Amino acid sequence: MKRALIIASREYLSFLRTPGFWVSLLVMPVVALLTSLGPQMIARSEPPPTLMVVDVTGLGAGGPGAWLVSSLAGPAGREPAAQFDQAAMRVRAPTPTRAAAVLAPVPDRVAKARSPSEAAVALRPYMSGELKLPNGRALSAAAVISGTADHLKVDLWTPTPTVGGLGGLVSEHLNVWLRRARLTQAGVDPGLSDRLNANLTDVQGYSPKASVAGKVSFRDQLPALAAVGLSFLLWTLVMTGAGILLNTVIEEKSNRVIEVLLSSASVTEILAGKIAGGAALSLTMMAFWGGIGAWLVGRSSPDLLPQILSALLGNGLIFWFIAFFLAGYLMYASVFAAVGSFCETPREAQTLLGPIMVLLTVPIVFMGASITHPDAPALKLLVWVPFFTPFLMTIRVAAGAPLPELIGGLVMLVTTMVVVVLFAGRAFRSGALATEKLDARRFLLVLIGRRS
Amino acid sequence: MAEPALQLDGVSKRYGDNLAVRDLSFEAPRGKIFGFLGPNGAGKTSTLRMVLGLVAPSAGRINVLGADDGRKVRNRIGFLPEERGLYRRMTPSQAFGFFGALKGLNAAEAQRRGRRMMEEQGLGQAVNRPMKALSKGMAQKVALISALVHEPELVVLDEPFSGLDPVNQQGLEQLIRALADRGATVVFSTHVMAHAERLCDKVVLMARGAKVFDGPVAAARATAPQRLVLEGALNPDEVAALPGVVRVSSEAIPDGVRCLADLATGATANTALREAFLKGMAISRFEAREPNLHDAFILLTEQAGALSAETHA
Repeated sequence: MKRALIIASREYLSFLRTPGFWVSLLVMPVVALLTSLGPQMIARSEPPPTLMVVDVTGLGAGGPGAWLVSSLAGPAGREPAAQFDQAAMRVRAPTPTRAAAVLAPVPDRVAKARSPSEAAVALRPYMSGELKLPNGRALSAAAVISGTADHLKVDLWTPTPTVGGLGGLVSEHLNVWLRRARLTQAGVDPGLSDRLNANLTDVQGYSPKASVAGKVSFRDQLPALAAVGLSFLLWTLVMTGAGILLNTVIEEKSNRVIEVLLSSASVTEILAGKIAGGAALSLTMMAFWGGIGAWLVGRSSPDLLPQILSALLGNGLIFWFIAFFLAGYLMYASVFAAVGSFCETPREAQTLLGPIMVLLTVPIVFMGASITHPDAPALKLLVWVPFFTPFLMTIRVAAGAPLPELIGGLVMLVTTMVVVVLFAGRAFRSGALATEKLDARRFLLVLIGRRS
Repeated sequence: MAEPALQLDGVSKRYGDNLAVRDLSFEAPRGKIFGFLGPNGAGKTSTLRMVLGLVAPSAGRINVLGADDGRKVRNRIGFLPEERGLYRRMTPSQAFGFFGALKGLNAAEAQRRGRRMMEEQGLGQAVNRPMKALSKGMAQKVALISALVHEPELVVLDEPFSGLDPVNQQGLEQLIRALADRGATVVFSTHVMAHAERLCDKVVLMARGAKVFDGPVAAARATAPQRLVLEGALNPDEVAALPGVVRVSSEAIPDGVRCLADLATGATANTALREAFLKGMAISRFEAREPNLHDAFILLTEQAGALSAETHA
């Protein structure tokens, strides 16, 4: 036991002293931040697109073109243009900081067009970049409106086919005009359309599991979100910790330190020490990331912090998480250590780790979908596969899975973990002393005890 | 008589279909330097691993410092693997603390002893440098000191001279002698006979997994024939006919031919040389060459190969 602690302490301290550890510690929050803010940052890094509205319907000042221009510009052009949220199929409230599009003045040569084809010809130099707008900017898109009051047609011209978003915006505003025009034709007050749109259905979710009067609120959804977050965290920690372990074993194997260790301690002590050291590193990372997360949440939404804590403690989520983390980490770390003992370079390890990595991507696929489908039969089935249990069972805890399911899953995971650790220990000893080139067949024979 | 530090009795080791060590028996006396010799693939490393308890023998018994398993006495054994066996980012001081603690020593005491030994070797200035900044010779000495800080009774060194320059080889030889003077038993494997010849009290020669010789260095040398070197305008067939000569190999040299004549056991070079002069052979140079361990090693290895080939035939 004492030797295991000495080895664990060395593992922990040696990695703590490397710049790589601190880089990976800091990279994770940065990556998380970039992932969540990246799309917005990309969108905000360029100016709003310039949109030209060309109306060839001949419907004049009351036509769709004028409506579109006025509704995009706001009354007298004072308000910024509304943003169209295509995913939610609704117009968002205008934000004071950024417009969805800037209306471009229509040059004379384009304004003279009387058909979509004439407009297309007139627009071509602006699309190709030969001509700039009178204000010196490049044109991002042009909406050429044609057709009749009964059936409008819009040709949306853009220099690059991949530019999106503006079509929805144009369509939303013109649909309002169409509704108003048809209501007017039918002798109905066109303002009715606006009033109808203003009083849309308000859906309120209720559940017997909801905390306040059965009303479903964000607080009730928090445990599921926290569980998925914890599952991702567990996955990251297992991958990081086991990866660190793999690298140290490869280093020890390549410089023969492993032989000195084996002459000084038992395989059990070495493996236990290494796994404990890696786990301590993972827990340090978890504490660091958790601390940063708590600090950020505390700064931005202080009310949310107690709710998150309550979600973590509710149903014993955090305790189940720790139990599944320990068992899962032990299982994967021992496999990674065994693989590392057969390899002298990371490249050699890739050969054996390929199938394990493929296996580890399966729970990732299911984690995202499990937020909305925590009781899906596929998920209920997968939690019984011990290699996926650590990552998916936490989600089932948050969904209020019955205790027999949780205990059964844990028992199965621990049993598998014990078997895997025993096999991995055997493989580790054999691999550590092997001088032959890496051979997957030999690795399997060692695992099943057909070779020493 | 004191119990030997190491005793192997009919030990074999099989890896799948490969019999790496065959029915090996020998004893390494306490406080002596014991050479474990053989070509690559002879079974030296497998034997040392069995001695250390890293792998179990397939057959036979091993007694290490009175125990039937090296793992039971691991704190009394020091081991240096064939390559450095050091963490690249560790400093020597950290290595002494870590490996010493694994052998049951207080880490601070292990560091203190290690530093003292480093200073004795003139390496005091390198004690806090990372291992990757040390030369191969320095790193090898650090690795050896790491294996010695707990003052083991049995020191097992696997190819300790591998890759060292002559100056560092000499330094390592001095360290090994100092260990034996302190009373430790040193067992080292090598395929470079010169080190064994200079250092060892006793050697075991292995070839193809089996022991081909076990005894003092002088006795090993005596297994090889004395040789007579003759140069001049010579006919190798006439040299082969000289009394006591059992085999002749020859090569052309600028002044004629150089003949290397192996003499039979008990035959002397003087007898053959006198007969050569009596026969009027045109000898420009002659030399009676005493066999060394290298000659014995080559001969015994070849004999083992021939025997093995016959057995397989």
